[in-house]
Amino acid sequence: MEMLALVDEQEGVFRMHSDHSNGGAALARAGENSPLLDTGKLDSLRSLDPGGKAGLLKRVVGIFVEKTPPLLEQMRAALENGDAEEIFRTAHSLKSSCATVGALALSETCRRLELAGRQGSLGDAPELLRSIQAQFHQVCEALIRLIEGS
Amino acid sequence: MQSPSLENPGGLVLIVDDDAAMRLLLRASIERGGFDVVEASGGEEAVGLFTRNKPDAVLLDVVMPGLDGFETCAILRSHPAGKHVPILMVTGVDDVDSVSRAYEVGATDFVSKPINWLVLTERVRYMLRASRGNEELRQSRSSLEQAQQIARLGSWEMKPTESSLACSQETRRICGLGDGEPPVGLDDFLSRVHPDDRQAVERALEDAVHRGKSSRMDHRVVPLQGALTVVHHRIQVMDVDGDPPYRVTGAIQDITERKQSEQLEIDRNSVLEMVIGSDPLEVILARLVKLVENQRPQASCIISLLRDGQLVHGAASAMPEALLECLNEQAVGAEGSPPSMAAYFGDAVATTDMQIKKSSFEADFTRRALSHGLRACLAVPVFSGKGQVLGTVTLLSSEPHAHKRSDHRLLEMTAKLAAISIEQRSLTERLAHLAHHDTLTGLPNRLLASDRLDGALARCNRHSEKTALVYIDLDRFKHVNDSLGHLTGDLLLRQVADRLKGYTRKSDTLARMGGDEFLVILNRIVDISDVSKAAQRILNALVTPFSIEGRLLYIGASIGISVFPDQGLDATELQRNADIAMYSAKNEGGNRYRYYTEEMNALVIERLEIENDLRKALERNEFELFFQPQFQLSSRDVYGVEALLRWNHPELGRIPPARFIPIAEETGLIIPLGSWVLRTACEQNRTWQDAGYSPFRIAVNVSALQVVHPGFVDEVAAVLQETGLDPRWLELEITESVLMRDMSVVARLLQEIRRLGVSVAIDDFGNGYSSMSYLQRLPVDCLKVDQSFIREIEQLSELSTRSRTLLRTFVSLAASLGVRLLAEGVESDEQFKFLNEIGCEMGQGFLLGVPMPANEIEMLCSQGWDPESCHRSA
Repeated sequence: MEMLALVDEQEGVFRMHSDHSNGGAALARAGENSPLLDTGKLDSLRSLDPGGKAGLLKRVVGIFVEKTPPLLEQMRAALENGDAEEIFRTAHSLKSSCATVGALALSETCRRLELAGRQGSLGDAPELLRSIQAQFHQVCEALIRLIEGS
Repeated sequence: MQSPSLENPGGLVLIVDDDAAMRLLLRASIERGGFDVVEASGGEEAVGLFTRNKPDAVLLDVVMPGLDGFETCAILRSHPAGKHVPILMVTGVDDVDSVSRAYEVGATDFVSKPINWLVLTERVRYMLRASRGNEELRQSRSSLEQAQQIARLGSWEMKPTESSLACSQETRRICGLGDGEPPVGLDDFLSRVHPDDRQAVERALEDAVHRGKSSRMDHRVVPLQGALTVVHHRIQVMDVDGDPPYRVTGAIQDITERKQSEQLEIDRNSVLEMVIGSDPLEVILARLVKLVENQRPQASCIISLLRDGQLVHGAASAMPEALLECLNEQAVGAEGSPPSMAAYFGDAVATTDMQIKKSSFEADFTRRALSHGLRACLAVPVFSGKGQVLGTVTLLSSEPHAHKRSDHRLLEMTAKLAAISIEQRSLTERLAHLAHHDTLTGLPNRLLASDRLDGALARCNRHSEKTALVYIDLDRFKHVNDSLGHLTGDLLLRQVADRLKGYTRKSDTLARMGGDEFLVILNRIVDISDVSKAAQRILNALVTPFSIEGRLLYIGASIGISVFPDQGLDATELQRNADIAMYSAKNEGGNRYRYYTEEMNALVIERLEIENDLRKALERNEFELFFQPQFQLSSRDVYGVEALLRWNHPELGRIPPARFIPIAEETGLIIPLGSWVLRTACEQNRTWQDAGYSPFRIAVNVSALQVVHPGFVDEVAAVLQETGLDPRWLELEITESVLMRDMSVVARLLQEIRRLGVSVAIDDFGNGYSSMSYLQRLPVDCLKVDQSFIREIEQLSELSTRSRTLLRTFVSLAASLGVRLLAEGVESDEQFKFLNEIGCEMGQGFLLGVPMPANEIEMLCSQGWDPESCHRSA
């Protein structure tokens, strides 16, 4: 698998060019335009572990699948307590994790919750949390399929 | 996955992130770049790991529980090893605040999430390389600074358009420009250059900037604080191909120490050369002061000499007269000034601040030093090679505590050079004294006398004065030396010198010219009769006997005088003429003075000719023996003959022995001549015997020099054997002076001669040295009474009475000793009658028989001379 990544750091934007004919992973879709998992991101991870000898992807996914449910529980409790600060922290954390494993849509949702937490306006927070929880399950299924398929 | 290893050349990266998945990925990404990784899940753990592992780079997440990334970064930066370590902060993608905060706390760079792992690897690699480069630059800059400091080498750079210099630390230190970064104004820089060198430096800079001319020069720098510095300065134009003004750099090196040690070497050699060249001590000491000043331009130096327990001024830096004055003629002591104490204790005395220790030193010195702003004082003693204190070297400085170990060393070296100079001078003085004085008597010698004479003559020429040269030659000194030995002779010369000193004025010069010759230069003669009086006084002084080792010695002197300008116009002529006059006085019998006259010259020339001809006379067979019969007075019968030497000079005719024997003795020719006489006499006597004449004794005169000449006895034995003469027909006549030698040696020699069967006669008995006591101790067979006694018999005076009495005494003395008595010079009937009356056994003289050649002796014998009968009756 070959991939070329051009980075424009100043704008913080990644423009990915990937050879889709070779991207044989099954992708779940959350919406029309937004893929559940970003192929380029995953390819990037794979490139760190050529041939998967070190089982890097498997271990990263394992950590994600294992560590995320407690984080979601912390979010739920924080929302219950109206703790915006805690919501900001946990949302930020999950945002990063999601981005790491290529769950960019989920990461985007986390970013919105993080923003709400930072601004202390938790009006949309319950809905965002529900969306996160739903997406997390989809992402988990997709990741597990990905690992098992690979 | 690679295991973390510090040895990995790629380096060690510390990953700090609370997200385990993130750490996993970061590690994978970093390790892929060939680095080792340690990871921490939070700030506290990161600080611990950093301290232990000293990673080469840190990847630091911003948002963490506990210490967050910013706090952690700040802590790491404050860590000693964390000052320059590259720290890469991982921030959120859109978090501009975080990026700026990251830089604020000292992060090297940031990377935004989501992370492009491949790019990250390159970022870390680049960051480390840059960091290493920086580190090397930092180290090289620091080692360059250190190197510059060690080499005392500074650098500077001048931008073409600015009149200021960017100076390195060391340049600032050398020029006393103060620490800091800002460029130094050109005027400030130039103000530190010594005023005398400033123009040259300024010109060199202008030449560089405007004309592209590089240069190098040595010049002095005067820092605001600190001592005068000498620098080697290179001014280098950097871009000479371009147009002026040029960029110019400079290297400035402090070569003060090198210059000073070079100067020290030059100064030291210069001093040593002066010592070798025997320059005046004052000049050498002044040069030594200069040597110290060259090393310590801000200090003053004083060199004092120790004389009779006092310090006296030697040389000093320019300094107040009052200060030097109070050191001059200052007695050394434990309570004195530092120099005085140094001389007293023989050790260095240092006063760091006289203001504080005022009480402990002599108040005068301290007060005056302080009033002239001198506070520190260091004094070291000057030691001779034998450890004797010769003086002191003192260093004075205006700053308290100014003197260091190096000053001490400098002064000790100076003291050593001073010691060499001082000792060299006393050695030179001693040598000069030795060169100009006679070691035996301490009188000026010939050299100094000659100098004095030159001086005296120069004065005479200026003032139309007269100067007299009085040449004194001792009479009979040679006999004393020959008979009593050189030691006695030396003692006598010393006494003569002492006595002469008492008879000369201070303004006159008394010198020993060698041997037994003395010279008095009488200056400023008013009346020539004063010279005669002085000469007579000297004669009288020397006629009085000298007592040496319990023995009374009678000598006299022959004095020759020449007067400037009457008897000589220059030193050489005057000396020669005085010498000639002296010989003349001696030839007249000694114990008199003579002024030089033209006639004397002819006599001296004749004497020189005799000496020359004497050397050839033996080879030319010019000598001849005459024989004078010796008679038994009672019967007028011939008893024997005395062999007498005659010299038939081809031009001067017959020369009497009295004229050439002393010359032969002086020149040593007496030894071969004496041998010839002995052999010829023995041969002749044997010839007579072989011819059938009755055998008789032949008397041969032997010089004192011959008798003591090694192997003389053997020679006599050999001659007797070779000629076949029976020893009893040989008698050796020896003058009394021989007997004055070491008695035991003479007694042994005479004993050996008599053991050969040869008899011994004492010639000229009763004249001069006579000591009756030796007669009993010496083995002799005959006493020959000096003819002066015989001559006096006829004189109608007390002399006659005295000699008659003495002759009677000699007769009874000879009888009691059992030796023969022979009267010499019997020339009249009256003498013969008297001698016969008193019972003098034998006689010799013109009355009885004149000296005659061998054939006439033969005629005597054929006329019925029967020596045998004499012997029988004797």
